[in-house]
Amino acid sequence: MANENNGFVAFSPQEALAEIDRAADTMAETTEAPRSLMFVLLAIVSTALALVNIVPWAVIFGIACLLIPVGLWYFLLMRTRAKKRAVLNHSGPYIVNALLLLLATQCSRFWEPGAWWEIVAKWLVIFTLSWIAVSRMRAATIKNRIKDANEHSF
Amino acid sequence: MSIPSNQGVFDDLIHFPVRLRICAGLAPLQWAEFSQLRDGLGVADSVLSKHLKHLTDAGYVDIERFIKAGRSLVRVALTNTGRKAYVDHVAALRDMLQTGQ
Repeated sequence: MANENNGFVAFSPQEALAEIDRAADTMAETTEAPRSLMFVLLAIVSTALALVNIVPWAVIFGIACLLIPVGLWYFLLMRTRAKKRAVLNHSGPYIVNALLLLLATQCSRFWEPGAWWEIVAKWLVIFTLSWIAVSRMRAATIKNRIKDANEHSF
Repeated sequence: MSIPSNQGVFDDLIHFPVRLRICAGLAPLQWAEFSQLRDGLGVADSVLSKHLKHLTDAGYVDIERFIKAGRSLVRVALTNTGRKAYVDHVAALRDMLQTGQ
């Protein structure tokens, strides 16, 4: 699109809009929590949910305490990142996936494993469903933020 | 359902490719540090500085210098004027795409 003289060779609005999407997506992505943090967070939550009613509540509490260093990690990480612009409304796909996450975690309470392999299977199911829901929520948030930034000037 | 708040107005200053990417990168943010913007857009310091100067002179970008933990940092943000000009420009590009110009 650019040359040395005036910056443009042949102008294409489609190409310009694609360039806008790429730049906005890259910068918006850097303001969200990294996938590694999401992975650790969901692994802890899945472990706690898979072991509910199997081990004493003190153990569940101990596992939940692991969320404190994860929260600290998130806090320190976000301090080094660009500050995101607040968006007033969440998008439809975000809400749907948030409900899916809630449903998956709540319904998991009805599954009471009788053997260790069932605990592993329960962990895998909770983790997979949560990962899908949270990944989609993250993608929907970024998409919504870019849409808002490109359409609203206030 | 949200309705875009702006009419399309083509802006020659924003239209330059690097400046368009700077505005697009800053639009979903409240602010970014100079180094974060440089790394995100994949441009050299000198190129980013040059184009930020153009945008600052036009009142589209606000540059704030501050010191954190003994380090001098530069924070960059779109101003209200810059944000409006950018949104208008994006709307103009979409209009052009729809009308096939």
